[in-house]
Amino acid sequence: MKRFLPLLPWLLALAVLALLPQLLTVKYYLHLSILALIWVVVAQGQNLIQGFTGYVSIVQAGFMGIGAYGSTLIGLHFQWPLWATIAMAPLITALFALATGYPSLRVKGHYFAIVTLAFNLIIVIVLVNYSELTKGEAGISNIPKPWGGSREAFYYLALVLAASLTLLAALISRSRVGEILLAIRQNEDLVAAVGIAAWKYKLFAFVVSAMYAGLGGALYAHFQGFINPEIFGVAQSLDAILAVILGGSGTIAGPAIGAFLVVFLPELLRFADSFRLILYGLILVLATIFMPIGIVGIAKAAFARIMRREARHGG
Amino acid sequence: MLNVRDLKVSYGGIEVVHGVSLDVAAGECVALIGANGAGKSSTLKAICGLVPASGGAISFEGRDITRASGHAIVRAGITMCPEGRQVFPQMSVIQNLRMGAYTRNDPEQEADLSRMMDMFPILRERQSQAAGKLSGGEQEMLAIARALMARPRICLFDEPSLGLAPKIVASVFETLARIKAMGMTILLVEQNSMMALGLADRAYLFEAGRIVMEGAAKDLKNHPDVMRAYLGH
Repeated sequence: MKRFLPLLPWLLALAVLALLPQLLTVKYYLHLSILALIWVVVAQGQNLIQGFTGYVSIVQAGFMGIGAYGSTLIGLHFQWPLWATIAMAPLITALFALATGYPSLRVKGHYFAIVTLAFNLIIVIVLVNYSELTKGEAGISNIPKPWGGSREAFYYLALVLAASLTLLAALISRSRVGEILLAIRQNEDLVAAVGIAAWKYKLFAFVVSAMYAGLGGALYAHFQGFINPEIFGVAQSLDAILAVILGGSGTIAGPAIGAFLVVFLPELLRFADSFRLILYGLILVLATIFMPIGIVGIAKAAFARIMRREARHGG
Repeated sequence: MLNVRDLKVSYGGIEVVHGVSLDVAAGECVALIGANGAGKSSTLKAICGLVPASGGAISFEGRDITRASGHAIVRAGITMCPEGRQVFPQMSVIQNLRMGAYTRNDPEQEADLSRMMDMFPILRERQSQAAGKLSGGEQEMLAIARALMARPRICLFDEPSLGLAPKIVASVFETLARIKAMGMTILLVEQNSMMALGLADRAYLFEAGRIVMEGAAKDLKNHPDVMRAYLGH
Protein backbone atom coordinates (compact mmCIF):
# COMPACT_ATOMS: atom_id res chain seq x y z
CA MET A 1 0.00 0.00 0.00
CA LYS A 2 2.77 2.40 0.97
CA ARG A 3 4.31 1.95 -2.47
CA PHE A 4 1.26 3.46 -4.11
CA LEU A 5 0.93 6.36 -1.71
CA PRO A 6 2.99 8.75 -3.89
CA LEU A 7 0.53 8.08 -6.74
CA LEU A 8 -2.40 9.35 -4.71
CA PRO A 9 -1.96 13.09 -5.48
CA TRP A 10 -1.65 12.19 -9.16
CA LEU A 11 -4.90 10.21 -9.14
CA LEU A 12 -6.66 13.02 -7.29
CA ALA A 13 -5.39 15.61 -9.77
CA LEU A 14 -6.49 13.41 -12.68
CA ALA A 15 -9.93 12.96 -11.15
CA VAL A 16 -10.36 16.71 -10.70
CA LEU A 17 -9.12 17.38 -14.22
CA ALA A 18 -11.46 14.71 -15.62
CA LEU A 19 -14.46 16.36 -13.95
CA LEU A 20 -13.37 19.90 -14.76
CA PRO A 21 -15.52 20.41 -17.92
CA GLN A 22 -18.59 19.63 -15.80
CA LEU A 23 -17.49 22.00 -13.05
CA LEU A 24 -16.55 24.97 -15.19
CA THR A 25 -19.54 27.08 -16.09
CA VAL A 26 -17.55 29.80 -17.85
CA LYS A 27 -16.52 28.46 -21.25
CA TYR A 28 -13.50 30.75 -21.34
CA TYR A 29 -11.95 28.87 -18.43
CA LEU A 30 -12.39 25.62 -20.31
CA HIS A 31 -10.59 27.27 -23.22
CA LEU A 32 -7.72 28.27 -20.92
CA SER A 33 -7.60 24.80 -19.37
CA ILE A 34 -7.13 23.26 -22.80
CA LEU A 35 -4.29 25.69 -23.52
CA ALA A 36 -2.77 24.80 -20.14
CA LEU A 37 -2.93 21.07 -20.93
CA ILE A 38 -1.20 21.72 -24.26
CA TRP A 39 1.42 23.67 -22.33
CA VAL A 40 1.84 20.71 -19.97
CA VAL A 41 3.03 18.72 -23.01
CA VAL A 42 5.38 21.52 -24.09
CA ALA A 43 6.76 22.05 -20.56
CA GLN A 44 7.31 18.33 -19.93
CA GLY A 45 9.42 18.32 -23.09
CA GLN A 46 11.34 21.40 -21.96
CA ASN A 47 11.97 19.74 -18.60
CA LEU A 48 13.69 16.77 -20.27
CA ILE A 49 16.46 18.95 -21.67
CA GLN A 50 16.43 21.79 -19.12
CA GLY A 51 15.47 20.09 -15.87
CA PHE A 52 17.01 16.65 -16.24
CA THR A 53 19.94 17.24 -18.58
CA GLY A 54 20.76 20.75 -17.39
CA TYR A 55 20.80 22.41 -20.81
CA VAL A 56 18.56 25.49 -21.02
CA SER A 57 17.14 25.50 -24.52
CA ILE A 58 15.34 28.60 -25.87
CA VAL A 59 13.78 27.08 -28.96
CA GLN A 60 10.81 25.18 -27.53
CA ALA A 61 8.24 27.58 -29.07
CA GLY A 62 10.11 27.44 -32.37
CA PHE A 63 9.70 23.67 -32.32
CA MET A 64 6.02 24.14 -31.48
CA GLY A 65 5.84 26.28 -34.61
CA ILE A 66 7.41 23.55 -36.73
CA GLY A 67 4.87 21.06 -35.39
CA ALA A 68 1.98 23.48 -35.88
CA TYR A 69 2.91 24.55 -39.42
CA GLY A 70 3.98 21.01 -40.31
CA SER A 71 0.65 19.48 -39.40
CA THR A 72 -1.36 22.34 -40.93
CA LEU A 73 0.54 22.45 -44.22
CA ILE A 74 0.53 18.69 -44.75
CA GLY A 75 -3.23 18.74 -44.25
CA LEU A 76 -3.62 21.70 -46.59
CA HIS A 77 -1.42 20.50 -49.45
CA PHE A 78 -1.68 16.73 -49.32
CA GLN A 79 -5.20 16.41 -47.90
CA TRP A 80 -4.01 13.93 -45.28
CA PRO A 81 -6.52 13.07 -42.58
CA LEU A 82 -6.29 15.25 -39.48
CA TRP A 83 -4.96 12.54 -37.17
CA ALA A 84 -2.22 11.58 -39.58
CA THR A 85 -1.01 15.18 -39.85
CA ILE A 86 -0.95 15.55 -36.04
CA ALA A 87 1.00 12.31 -35.78
CA MET A 88 3.50 13.63 -38.35
CA ALA A 89 4.16 16.81 -36.34
CA PRO A 90 6.50 15.32 -33.71
CA LEU A 91 8.35 13.36 -36.41
CA ILE A 92 9.01 16.44 -38.54
CA THR A 93 10.09 18.34 -35.43
CA ALA A 94 12.44 15.49 -34.50
CA LEU A 95 14.21 15.86 -37.87
CA PHE A 96 14.73 19.59 -37.27
CA ALA A 97 15.90 18.90 -33.72
CA LEU A 98 18.45 16.35 -34.95
CA ALA A 99 19.83 18.85 -37.45
CA THR A 100 19.98 21.72 -34.96
CA GLY A 101 20.86 19.71 -31.86
CA TYR A 102 23.96 18.06 -33.27
CA PRO A 103 25.88 21.32 -33.75
CA SER A 104 24.40 23.26 -30.82
CA LEU A 105 25.03 20.57 -28.17
CA ARG A 106 28.76 21.00 -28.75
CA VAL A 107 28.64 24.13 -26.64
CA LYS A 108 27.52 24.39 -23.03
CA GLY A 109 25.79 26.72 -20.63
CA HIS A 110 24.98 30.18 -21.90
CA TYR A 111 26.42 29.43 -25.31
CA PHE A 112 23.98 26.58 -25.83
CA ALA A 113 21.12 28.83 -24.70
CA ILE A 114 22.17 31.53 -27.19
CA VAL A 115 22.57 29.09 -30.10
CA THR A 116 19.09 27.66 -29.50
CA LEU A 117 17.69 31.19 -29.17
CA ALA A 118 19.19 31.96 -32.57
CA PHE A 119 17.44 28.88 -34.01
CA ASN A 120 14.13 30.14 -32.64
CA LEU A 121 14.72 33.53 -34.29
CA ILE A 122 15.57 31.81 -37.58
CA ILE A 123 12.42 29.68 -37.43
CA VAL A 124 10.28 32.80 -36.95
CA ILE A 125 12.08 34.67 -39.77
CA VAL A 126 11.50 31.76 -42.14
CA LEU A 127 7.83 31.50 -41.13
CA VAL A 128 7.39 35.24 -41.78
CA ASN A 129 9.25 35.44 -45.06
CA TYR A 130 8.50 32.15 -46.79
CA SER A 131 5.02 33.50 -47.30
CA GLU A 132 4.07 31.48 -50.41
CA LEU A 133 4.00 28.49 -48.12
CA THR A 134 3.25 29.93 -44.68
CA LYS A 135 1.14 33.00 -45.66
CA GLY A 136 3.63 35.10 -43.67
CA GLU A 137 2.62 37.33 -40.81
CA ALA A 138 -1.06 37.12 -41.71
CA GLY A 139 -0.97 33.49 -40.63
CA ILE A 140 -3.16 30.57 -41.60
CA SER A 141 -6.78 30.46 -40.51
CA ASN A 142 -9.58 27.92 -40.80
CA ILE A 143 -7.30 25.09 -39.73
CA PRO A 144 -9.49 21.98 -39.37
CA LYS A 145 -10.56 21.12 -35.82
CA PRO A 146 -11.42 17.61 -34.69
CA TRP A 147 -14.98 16.66 -33.72
CA GLY A 148 -16.44 19.72 -35.40
CA GLY A 149 -14.68 21.99 -32.94
CA SER A 150 -16.19 20.54 -29.75
CA ARG A 151 -14.30 22.07 -26.82
CA GLU A 152 -15.24 19.30 -24.38
CA ALA A 153 -13.95 16.58 -26.69
CA PHE A 154 -10.72 18.48 -27.34
CA TYR A 155 -10.29 18.95 -23.60
CA TYR A 156 -10.28 15.19 -23.06
CA LEU A 157 -7.90 14.65 -25.98
CA ALA A 158 -5.49 17.18 -24.46
CA LEU A 159 -5.91 15.64 -21.00
CA VAL A 160 -5.16 12.11 -22.22
CA LEU A 161 -2.09 13.29 -24.15
CA ALA A 162 -0.79 15.50 -21.30
CA ALA A 163 -1.24 12.66 -18.79
CA SER A 164 0.38 9.98 -20.93
CA LEU A 165 3.29 12.20 -21.95
CA THR A 166 3.82 13.12 -18.31
CA LEU A 167 3.90 9.39 -17.54
CA LEU A 168 6.37 8.86 -20.38
CA ALA A 169 8.62 11.62 -18.99
CA ALA A 170 8.47 9.93 -15.57
CA LEU A 171 9.44 6.59 -17.12
CA ILE A 172 12.33 8.17 -19.03
CA SER A 173 13.59 9.89 -15.87
CA ARG A 174 13.57 6.61 -13.95
CA SER A 175 15.24 4.61 -16.72
CA ARG A 176 18.94 4.00 -17.27
CA VAL A 177 18.89 6.80 -19.86
CA GLY A 178 17.30 9.14 -17.33
CA GLU A 179 19.99 8.32 -14.81
CA ILE A 180 22.65 9.29 -17.35
CA LEU A 181 20.82 12.54 -18.17
CA LEU A 182 20.87 13.40 -14.45
CA ALA A 183 24.55 12.48 -14.34
CA ILE A 184 25.22 14.86 -17.26
CA ARG A 185 23.51 17.66 -15.37
CA GLN A 186 25.60 16.96 -12.26
CA ASN A 187 29.01 16.49 -13.84
CA GLU A 188 29.30 16.15 -17.59
CA ASP A 189 33.09 15.77 -17.67
CA LEU A 190 32.86 12.86 -15.28
CA VAL A 191 30.24 11.22 -17.50
CA ALA A 192 32.84 11.18 -20.26
CA ALA A 193 35.46 9.91 -17.82
CA VAL A 194 33.37 6.86 -16.89
CA GLY A 195 33.13 5.95 -20.56
CA ILE A 196 29.72 7.26 -21.59
CA ALA A 197 29.26 9.02 -24.94
CA ALA A 198 27.40 11.94 -23.38
CA TRP A 199 26.52 13.59 -26.72
CA LYS A 200 24.23 10.70 -27.68
CA TYR A 201 22.20 11.12 -24.52
CA LYS A 202 22.09 14.90 -24.81
CA LEU A 203 20.89 14.61 -28.40
CA PHE A 204 18.26 12.08 -27.30
CA ALA A 205 16.95 14.46 -24.63
CA PHE A 206 16.95 17.39 -27.07
CA VAL A 207 15.13 15.48 -29.81
CA VAL A 208 12.52 13.99 -27.47
CA SER A 209 11.95 17.41 -25.91
CA ALA A 210 11.43 18.84 -29.41
CA MET A 211 8.95 16.06 -30.24
CA TYR A 212 6.90 17.05 -27.20
CA ALA A 213 6.94 20.66 -28.45
CA GLY A 214 6.04 19.59 -32.00
CA LEU A 215 3.03 17.66 -30.79
CA GLY A 216 2.06 20.55 -28.50
CA GLY A 217 2.28 22.93 -31.46
CA ALA A 218 0.08 20.72 -33.66
CA LEU A 219 -2.51 20.46 -30.88
CA TYR A 220 -2.43 24.23 -30.54
CA ALA A 221 -3.00 24.75 -34.28
CA HIS A 222 -5.95 22.36 -34.46
CA PHE A 223 -7.46 23.73 -31.27
CA GLN A 224 -7.25 27.44 -32.10
CA GLY A 225 -7.82 27.00 -35.83
CA PHE A 226 -5.39 29.83 -36.47
CA ILE A 227 -1.61 30.20 -36.36
CA ASN A 228 0.87 32.92 -37.22
CA PRO A 229 4.63 33.18 -36.68
CA GLU A 230 4.36 35.51 -33.70
CA ILE A 231 2.80 32.78 -31.54
CA PHE A 232 6.00 30.75 -31.81
CA GLY A 233 8.46 33.47 -30.90
CA VAL A 234 11.18 33.61 -28.27
CA ALA A 235 8.76 35.06 -25.69
CA GLN A 236 6.82 31.78 -25.71
CA SER A 237 10.06 29.79 -25.44
CA LEU A 238 10.77 31.78 -22.30
CA ASP A 239 7.31 30.82 -21.02
CA ALA A 240 8.27 27.16 -21.42
CA ILE A 241 11.45 27.77 -19.43
CA LEU A 242 9.49 29.64 -16.76
CA ALA A 243 6.91 26.87 -16.51
CA VAL A 244 9.72 24.47 -15.67
CA ILE A 245 11.42 26.80 -13.18
CA LEU A 246 8.22 27.96 -11.45
CA GLY A 247 6.84 24.44 -11.11
CA GLY A 248 10.08 22.76 -10.16
CA SER A 249 12.96 21.96 -12.47
CA GLY A 250 13.85 18.27 -12.74
CA THR A 251 10.62 17.08 -11.13
CA ILE A 252 7.65 15.45 -12.87
CA ALA A 253 4.83 17.39 -11.23
CA GLY A 254 6.67 20.71 -11.57
CA PRO A 255 6.29 21.35 -15.32
CA ALA A 256 2.61 20.36 -15.15
CA ILE A 257 1.91 22.87 -12.39
CA GLY A 258 4.12 25.47 -14.07
CA ALA A 259 2.22 25.07 -17.35
CA PHE A 260 -1.08 25.95 -15.65
CA LEU A 261 0.63 28.93 -14.00
CA VAL A 262 2.01 30.46 -17.19
CA VAL A 263 -1.41 30.14 -18.87
CA PHE A 264 -3.64 31.22 -15.96
CA LEU A 265 -1.47 33.79 -14.18
CA PRO A 266 -1.65 36.46 -16.92
CA GLU A 267 -5.43 35.95 -17.01
CA LEU A 268 -5.87 36.20 -13.25
CA LEU A 269 -3.94 39.47 -13.36
CA ARG A 270 -6.42 41.08 -15.73
CA PHE A 271 -7.74 43.20 -12.83
CA ALA A 272 -4.48 45.15 -13.04
CA ASP A 273 -5.49 46.30 -16.53
CA SER A 274 -2.58 47.89 -18.38
CA PHE A 275 -0.16 46.95 -15.60
CA ARG A 276 -1.01 43.30 -16.16
CA LEU A 277 2.13 42.22 -18.00
CA ILE A 278 4.38 44.35 -15.80
CA LEU A 279 2.91 42.62 -12.75
CA TYR A 280 3.28 39.22 -14.42
CA GLY A 281 6.92 40.00 -15.15
CA LEU A 282 7.51 41.13 -11.58
CA ILE A 283 5.99 37.94 -10.15
CA LEU A 284 8.21 35.85 -12.42
CA VAL A 285 11.35 37.74 -11.46
CA LEU A 286 10.60 37.46 -7.74
CA ALA A 287 9.65 33.79 -8.02
CA THR A 288 12.84 32.95 -9.87
CA ILE A 289 14.96 34.78 -7.31
CA PHE A 290 13.23 33.57 -4.15
CA MET A 291 12.09 30.08 -5.12
CA PRO A 292 14.60 28.68 -7.61
CA ILE A 293 13.58 25.13 -6.66
CA GLY A 294 10.00 25.83 -7.71
CA ILE A 295 6.66 25.01 -6.14
CA VAL A 296 7.28 21.26 -6.13
CA GLY A 297 10.74 21.73 -4.65
CA ILE A 298 9.33 23.85 -1.83
CA ALA A 299 6.49 21.40 -1.20
CA LYS A 300 8.94 18.50 -1.06
CA ALA A 301 11.19 20.32 1.41
CA ALA A 302 8.21 21.22 3.60
CA PHE A 303 6.95 17.63 3.50
CA ALA A 304 10.39 16.31 4.49
CA ARG A 305 10.48 18.78 7.41
CA ILE A 306 7.09 17.62 8.65
CA MET A 307 8.13 13.97 8.39
CA ARG A 308 11.28 14.66 10.39
CA ARG A 309 9.31 16.45 13.08
CA GLU A 310 6.86 13.53 13.27
CA ALA A 311 9.73 11.11 13.62
CA ARG A 312 11.29 13.19 16.37
CA HIS A 313 8.05 13.27 18.36
CA GLY A 314 7.78 9.51 18.09
CA GLY A 315 4.93 9.81 15.56
CA MET B 1 51.67 -0.95 -22.40
CA LEU B 2 51.06 2.75 -23.00
CA ASN B 3 53.31 4.49 -25.50
CA VAL B 4 53.22 8.19 -26.30
CA ARG B 5 55.35 9.46 -29.19
CA ASP B 6 56.04 13.11 -29.93
CA LEU B 7 52.64 14.20 -28.59
CA LYS B 8 51.57 17.78 -29.26
CA VAL B 9 48.55 19.47 -27.71
CA SER B 10 47.19 22.89 -28.68
CA TYR B 11 44.38 24.99 -27.32
CA GLY B 12 42.96 27.34 -29.95
CA GLY B 13 46.16 27.43 -31.98
CA ILE B 14 48.51 27.86 -29.02
CA GLU B 15 50.67 24.81 -28.52
CA VAL B 16 51.12 23.88 -24.86
CA VAL B 17 52.68 20.43 -25.21
CA HIS B 18 55.57 20.46 -27.69
CA GLY B 19 56.30 16.86 -28.59
CA VAL B 20 56.34 14.65 -25.55
CA SER B 21 57.31 10.95 -25.56
CA LEU B 22 56.77 8.62 -22.67
CA ASP B 23 56.12 4.96 -21.91
CA VAL B 24 54.35 3.09 -19.15
CA ALA B 25 54.98 -0.65 -18.79
CA ALA B 26 52.43 -3.06 -17.30
CA GLY B 27 52.49 -3.00 -13.50
CA GLU B 28 54.53 0.18 -13.39
CA CYS B 29 53.75 3.38 -11.51
CA VAL B 30 54.89 6.42 -13.48
CA ALA B 31 54.65 10.03 -12.29
CA LEU B 32 54.58 13.20 -14.38
CA ILE B 33 55.89 16.03 -12.24
CA GLY B 34 56.61 19.69 -12.78
CA ALA B 35 55.25 23.15 -12.15
CA ASN B 36 51.73 24.36 -12.79
CA GLY B 37 51.18 24.90 -16.53
CA ALA B 38 54.05 22.67 -17.63
CA GLY B 39 51.72 20.50 -19.75
CA LYS B 40 51.36 17.45 -17.48
CA SER B 41 47.59 17.54 -17.25
CA SER B 42 47.20 18.35 -20.93
CA THR B 43 49.29 15.28 -21.74
CA LEU B 44 47.08 13.16 -19.52
CA LYS B 45 43.90 14.60 -21.03
CA ALA B 46 45.17 13.91 -24.54
CA ILE B 47 45.89 10.28 -23.58
CA CYS B 48 42.31 9.74 -22.43
CA GLY B 49 40.80 11.62 -25.35
CA LEU B 50 39.40 14.56 -23.41
CA VAL B 51 41.39 16.98 -25.55
CA PRO B 52 42.50 16.17 -29.12
CA ALA B 53 46.18 15.65 -29.87
CA SER B 54 47.41 18.11 -32.51
CA GLY B 55 50.36 15.90 -33.36
CA GLY B 56 52.15 12.67 -32.49
CA ALA B 57 50.77 9.25 -31.65
CA ILE B 58 49.38 7.46 -28.60
CA SER B 59 49.09 3.69 -28.51
CA PHE B 60 47.73 1.39 -25.85
CA GLU B 61 48.61 -2.30 -25.90
CA GLY B 62 49.75 -1.89 -29.48
CA ARG B 63 46.52 -0.23 -30.62
CA ASP B 64 46.54 3.33 -31.90
CA ILE B 65 44.19 5.45 -29.78
CA THR B 66 45.37 8.91 -30.86
CA ARG B 67 42.07 9.83 -32.48
CA ALA B 68 39.78 7.60 -30.39
CA SER B 69 36.92 9.24 -28.49
CA GLY B 70 36.98 9.51 -24.71
CA HIS B 71 34.43 6.77 -24.11
CA ALA B 72 36.11 4.38 -26.56
CA ILE B 73 39.36 4.84 -24.64
CA VAL B 74 37.64 3.95 -21.35
CA ARG B 75 36.31 0.82 -23.01
CA ALA B 76 39.83 -0.03 -24.15
CA GLY B 77 40.87 -0.17 -20.47
CA ILE B 78 42.18 3.31 -19.63
CA THR B 79 40.35 5.01 -16.79
CA MET B 80 41.00 8.53 -15.65
CA CYS B 81 40.43 9.96 -12.21
CA PRO B 82 40.08 13.65 -13.09
CA GLU B 83 41.41 16.44 -10.92
CA GLY B 84 39.29 18.19 -8.34
CA ARG B 85 37.51 15.25 -6.63
CA GLN B 86 34.97 14.68 -9.38
CA VAL B 87 31.79 12.98 -8.16
CA PHE B 88 28.11 13.10 -9.08
CA PRO B 89 27.08 15.31 -6.13
CA GLN B 90 23.38 14.41 -5.98
CA MET B 91 23.89 10.68 -6.37
CA SER B 92 24.55 8.40 -3.43
CA VAL B 93 27.99 6.93 -2.83
CA ILE B 94 26.76 3.56 -4.12
CA GLN B 95 25.25 5.09 -7.26
CA ASN B 96 28.55 6.85 -7.93
CA LEU B 97 30.40 3.56 -7.68
CA ARG B 98 27.88 1.85 -9.98
CA MET B 99 28.36 4.64 -12.54
CA GLY B 100 32.06 3.80 -12.49
CA ALA B 101 31.24 0.29 -13.71
CA TYR B 102 29.16 1.67 -16.59
CA THR B 103 31.30 0.16 -19.34
CA ARG B 104 31.22 -3.32 -17.80
CA ASN B 105 28.59 -5.97 -18.19
CA ASP B 106 30.16 -8.87 -16.32
CA PRO B 107 28.43 -10.39 -13.31
CA GLU B 108 31.17 -9.46 -10.84
CA GLN B 109 30.22 -5.80 -10.40
CA GLU B 110 28.47 -6.41 -7.08
CA ALA B 111 31.49 -8.30 -5.77
CA ASP B 112 33.72 -5.41 -6.82
CA LEU B 113 31.36 -3.00 -5.12
CA SER B 114 31.76 -4.72 -1.78
CA ARG B 115 35.51 -5.08 -2.38
CA MET B 116 35.74 -1.29 -2.84
CA MET B 117 33.85 -0.75 0.40
CA ASP B 118 36.19 -3.14 2.18
CA MET B 119 39.08 -1.12 0.85
CA PHE B 120 37.44 2.20 1.81
CA PRO B 121 35.41 1.51 4.97
CA ILE B 122 34.26 5.14 5.06
CA LEU B 123 32.42 4.58 1.77
CA ARG B 124 30.50 1.66 3.27
CA GLU B 125 29.57 3.83 6.22
CA ARG B 126 28.30 6.57 3.90
CA GLN B 127 26.98 4.38 1.11
CA SER B 128 23.51 5.94 0.88
CA GLN B 129 24.61 9.53 1.47
CA ALA B 130 24.74 12.05 -1.37
CA ALA B 131 28.32 12.28 -2.62
CA GLY B 132 28.16 16.08 -2.51
CA LYS B 133 27.77 15.89 1.27
CA LEU B 134 31.08 14.06 1.81
CA SER B 135 34.24 15.82 2.97
CA GLY B 136 36.98 16.60 0.46
CA GLY B 137 39.09 13.62 1.47
CA GLU B 138 36.12 11.28 1.34
CA GLN B 139 35.20 12.58 -2.11
CA GLU B 140 38.71 11.89 -3.36
CA MET B 141 38.46 8.32 -1.99
CA LEU B 142 35.13 7.94 -3.76
CA ALA B 143 36.63 9.30 -6.98
CA ILE B 144 39.47 6.78 -6.77
CA ALA B 145 37.13 3.88 -5.94
CA ARG B 146 34.85 4.93 -8.79
CA ALA B 147 37.76 4.83 -11.22
CA LEU B 148 38.73 1.34 -10.02
CA MET B 149 35.14 0.11 -10.50
CA ALA B 150 35.75 0.20 -14.24
CA ARG B 151 38.41 -2.51 -13.74
CA PRO B 152 40.90 -0.54 -15.81
CA ARG B 153 44.14 -2.02 -17.05
CA ILE B 154 45.76 1.36 -16.43
CA CYS B 155 44.52 4.07 -14.11
CA LEU B 156 45.35 7.73 -14.71
CA PHE B 157 45.30 10.08 -11.74
CA ASP B 158 45.22 13.84 -12.32
CA GLU B 159 46.44 15.80 -9.28
CA PRO B 160 44.87 13.61 -6.58
CA SER B 161 46.29 15.84 -3.82
CA LEU B 162 44.88 19.10 -5.24
CA GLY B 163 43.20 21.24 -2.60
CA LEU B 164 43.44 18.69 0.20
CA ALA B 165 44.86 19.19 3.71
CA PRO B 166 48.36 17.70 4.22
CA LYS B 167 47.03 14.93 6.45
CA ILE B 168 44.45 13.94 3.85
CA VAL B 169 47.10 14.07 1.11
CA ALA B 170 49.10 11.52 3.05
CA SER B 171 46.14 9.17 3.30
CA VAL B 172 45.37 9.58 -0.42
CA PHE B 173 48.92 8.56 -1.23
CA GLU B 174 48.67 5.60 1.15
CA THR B 175 45.64 4.54 -0.84
CA LEU B 176 47.51 4.93 -4.12
CA ALA B 177 50.33 2.83 -2.67
CA ARG B 178 47.84 0.07 -1.84
CA ILE B 179 46.42 0.21 -5.36
CA LYS B 180 49.94 -0.02 -6.74
CA ALA B 181 50.64 -3.01 -4.48
CA MET B 182 47.59 -4.72 -5.97
CA GLY B 183 49.44 -4.63 -9.27
CA MET B 184 47.55 -1.79 -10.93
CA THR B 185 49.40 0.12 -13.63
CA ILE B 186 49.36 3.80 -12.70
CA LEU B 187 50.13 7.05 -14.50
CA LEU B 188 50.07 9.89 -12.05
CA VAL B 189 50.16 13.66 -12.63
CA GLU B 190 51.12 15.51 -9.49
CA GLN B 191 52.45 18.90 -8.42
CA ASN B 192 53.38 17.52 -5.04
CA SER B 193 56.67 16.16 -6.38
CA MET B 194 57.90 14.84 -3.07
CA MET B 195 54.84 12.63 -2.60
CA ALA B 196 54.75 11.56 -6.24
CA LEU B 197 58.43 10.57 -6.34
CA GLY B 198 57.97 8.64 -3.09
CA LEU B 199 55.26 6.53 -4.72
CA ALA B 200 56.37 6.15 -8.34
CA ASP B 201 58.84 3.74 -9.91
CA ARG B 202 59.78 6.16 -12.67
CA ALA B 203 59.08 9.80 -13.35
CA TYR B 204 59.17 12.42 -16.10
CA LEU B 205 59.90 16.04 -15.25
CA PHE B 206 57.93 18.57 -17.33
CA GLU B 207 58.98 22.13 -17.99
CA ALA B 208 57.15 24.50 -20.36
CA GLY B 209 55.51 21.73 -22.36
CA ARG B 210 58.60 19.52 -22.72
CA ILE B 211 60.11 16.63 -20.82
CA VAL B 212 63.42 17.87 -19.46
CA MET B 213 64.38 14.88 -17.35
CA GLU B 214 63.35 11.27 -16.92
CA GLY B 215 64.48 8.32 -14.89
CA ALA B 216 63.95 6.21 -11.79
CA ALA B 217 61.93 8.13 -9.21
CA LYS B 218 64.59 7.78 -6.54
CA ASP B 219 67.27 9.19 -8.88
CA LEU B 220 65.10 12.20 -9.69
CA LYS B 221 64.39 12.69 -6.04
CA ASN B 222 68.11 13.00 -5.33
CA HIS B 223 68.98 15.02 -8.41
CA PRO B 224 70.26 18.44 -7.30
CA ASP B 225 68.29 20.39 -9.95
CA VAL B 226 65.05 18.68 -9.03
CA MET B 227 65.72 19.13 -5.34
CA ARG B 228 66.37 22.82 -5.75
CA ALA B 229 63.47 23.58 -8.08
CA TYR B 230 60.70 21.30 -6.88
CA LEU B 231 61.40 19.79 -3.51
CA GLY B 232 62.26 22.94 -1.63
CA HIS B 233 65.78 21.97 -0.61
